[in-house]
Amino acid sequence: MFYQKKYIYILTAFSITILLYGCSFSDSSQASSDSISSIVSSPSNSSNKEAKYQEDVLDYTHAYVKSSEADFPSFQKGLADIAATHGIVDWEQDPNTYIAIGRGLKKAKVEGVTYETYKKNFSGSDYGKMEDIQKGYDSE
Amino acid sequence: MCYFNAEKPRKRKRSQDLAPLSLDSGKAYKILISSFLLLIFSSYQLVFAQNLINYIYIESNEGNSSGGHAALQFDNDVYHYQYTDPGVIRLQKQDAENFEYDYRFAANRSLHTSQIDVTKETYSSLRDYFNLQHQTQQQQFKALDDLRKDQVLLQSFLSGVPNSALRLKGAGLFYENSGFLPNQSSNQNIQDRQTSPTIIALNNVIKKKYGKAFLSQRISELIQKIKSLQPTQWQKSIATVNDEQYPRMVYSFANQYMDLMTAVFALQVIEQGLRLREDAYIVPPNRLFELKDEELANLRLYRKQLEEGLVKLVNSKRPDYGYALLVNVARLIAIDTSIIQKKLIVIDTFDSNADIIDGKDFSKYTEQLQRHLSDTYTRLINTKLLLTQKKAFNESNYSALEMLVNRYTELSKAMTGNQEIRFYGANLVPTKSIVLPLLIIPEWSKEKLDDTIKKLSVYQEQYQETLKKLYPYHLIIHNCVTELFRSIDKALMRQIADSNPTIPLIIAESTQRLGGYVDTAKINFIPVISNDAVRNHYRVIKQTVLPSFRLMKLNELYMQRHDLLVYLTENNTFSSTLYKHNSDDSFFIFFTDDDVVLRPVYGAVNTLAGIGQSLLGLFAWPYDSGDMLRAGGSGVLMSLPELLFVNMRKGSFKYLPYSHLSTTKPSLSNWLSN
Repeated sequence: MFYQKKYIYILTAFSITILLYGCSFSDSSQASSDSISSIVSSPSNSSNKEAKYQEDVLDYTHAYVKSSEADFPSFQKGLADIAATHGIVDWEQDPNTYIAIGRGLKKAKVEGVTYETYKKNFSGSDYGKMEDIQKGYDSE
Repeated sequence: MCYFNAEKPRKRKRSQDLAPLSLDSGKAYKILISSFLLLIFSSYQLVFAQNLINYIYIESNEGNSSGGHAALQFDNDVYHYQYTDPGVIRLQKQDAENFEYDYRFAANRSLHTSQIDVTKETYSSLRDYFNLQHQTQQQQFKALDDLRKDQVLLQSFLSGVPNSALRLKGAGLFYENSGFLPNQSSNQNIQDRQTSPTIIALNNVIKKKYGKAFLSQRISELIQKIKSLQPTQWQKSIATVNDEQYPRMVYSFANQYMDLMTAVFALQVIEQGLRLREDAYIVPPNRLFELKDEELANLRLYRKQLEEGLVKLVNSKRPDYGYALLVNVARLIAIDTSIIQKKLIVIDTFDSNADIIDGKDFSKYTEQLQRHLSDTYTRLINTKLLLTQKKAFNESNYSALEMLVNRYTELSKAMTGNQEIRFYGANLVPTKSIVLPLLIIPEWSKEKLDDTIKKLSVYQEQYQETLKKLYPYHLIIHNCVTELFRSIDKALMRQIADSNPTIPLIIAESTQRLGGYVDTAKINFIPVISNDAVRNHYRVIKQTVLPSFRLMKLNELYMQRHDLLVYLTENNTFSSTLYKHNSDDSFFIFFTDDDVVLRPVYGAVNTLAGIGQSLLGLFAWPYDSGDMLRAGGSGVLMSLPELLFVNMRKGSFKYLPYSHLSTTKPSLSNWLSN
């Protein structure tokens, strides 16, 4: 009985909100819209920041290798956007980028010749970068 | 148990308010035993595994998501669906702390969380599905933007007039918007400009490594590439789009053109040794920014690292190396100047079009601004300390330091009088841009331009329609709740061997993995009811209420002062010490989120206040374009549910300091240890 009444109230209130907005809408002017909130609110913990960057690159790589048709320059552009949100412009010089790519490849279950091809392309055949990709791949 | 919006007894103390709600049980000994077992089980979970998914119900409030909202949290990532352009519902991913700041603090809504216990496999499959869906949508909507950009750029070529919607990021650090003429290989922008010793030195290093003609050759190659650019082949991408498959990525014509142009500008900066623009950097007045010998030594080390990176970057194969060059060349100049002046000088990282807020608007928020300033100061000091540590200072540390200096300098202005300040829009990396000048144009005939523009228009319309069909928004059948559960179902369907799983199979899979099934075809599409459904059906091991910002502070006041005094002071907007009315909220008198008994009475007063404001709004219409009338109308609508004991409006908070996040416990960002 109580629940019935409760639902009637809720339904009435909900009907009123239909006149307004139902769901959350995307608002670019939201209070935490820029990176300030996380920089100001949390301690400057380097390993945390690196882990977050790696997670984002890993997720992105994981999705990319599932793409029906891979376009490498577009991948790099997307990577640059992710890196910028972590304050990194020269992502090619950051080993975390390649470690995370390696982790993403492993998570996407890329193996054998396909893996070697990706490794070569992503690293531009740079030995150090290939090593970082392998390091990430082995760690995942 | 009642789940009406924040119906907390007025005198409830903070400690009670934050305690997890008890699970169903009858007798005391049963509660004791089940609590004991739960404690052991929870401890086991915390120590041995973290396969918990957090279902979050967000209470309603005025404006954005007035009917309430729902989200799903995996570790520190919160996924939720939002209504967005062009009339679709899209999956968003936010850091837990940003999400909490937006909804619990600024929007002042209580969050009800339910921790669902799942296996590692279920956790991974659900999390991976949400991630993949988020990435897929990001790419799909980016492709729609890229299609529009292609169209706008080609129209600019046709008309010969640059379009301000297309901007070259980073170029604004060295170039002005004006001074460029179409088809002009050199421009007034760089005439009569003094050169930068830092860039000349960098250019010498580059010449030594790659040869004297390297930069001019590279610029010539870029110009040739621009001239021979061809239209994007969009047909294939548009034909293959669906919500399950990560889309075919396309490096669009406009993106290629803008990247190549940015690279031309960047290489030209180095070749001609251009100085930074006067407004591209910040010279903070404060002694806080003076650099000690130890800090200078580490800054020199970082400078060396930066220069080495730049030498590699000029020869990079990444498509957008021009932007990275512009940013890091600008930083190199700023660091050299810092070393010479023994004082931290940084690049201005605010957007070129960052909103400027009049100092008068801040007059009500002096206390908040002071706190923002002191928080930024603390973080700035801590980040600057990294310069004294032996561990190598890296780019992300430098970016954080740069942004904090920007923010501190800007906030300081607000504290010294009624100056205009940029409160939002400081970035972690500089983005100062210029409108894309039409200096070099691909060699296309007018017919080819016309034809391509026509095709693009058709593609764009077709693609937009496809996305609208894939992600339709509907208040009842496709809202923030239904889409969450639809995605959960889809993720579970992938675990079922049957290629065409029936609903009973999905229900069985959901029951096995989550403890039950939530059917949004029923009334569960309403956020508050979905919360009940999750708690009734899923394997929920812990429930918590994270009170809204005002309720949290109110509880603190109840603990410090006399109850009646606090109640009388804080129950209305006139005498409240916690809340100050702001333009985002409609006009109201009484808060009703913490008072159930008197809610209809207060609601009646609030309704009358709304009607009053609407009447005044009618007279004010010629002067305020109907703003007051709208606010009054919204006030009435928000007050009507209060007559039925239902609270929606809670008031919102502007310019709240971010540090509330780190001082508040429990919170979403530490929910596993709550």
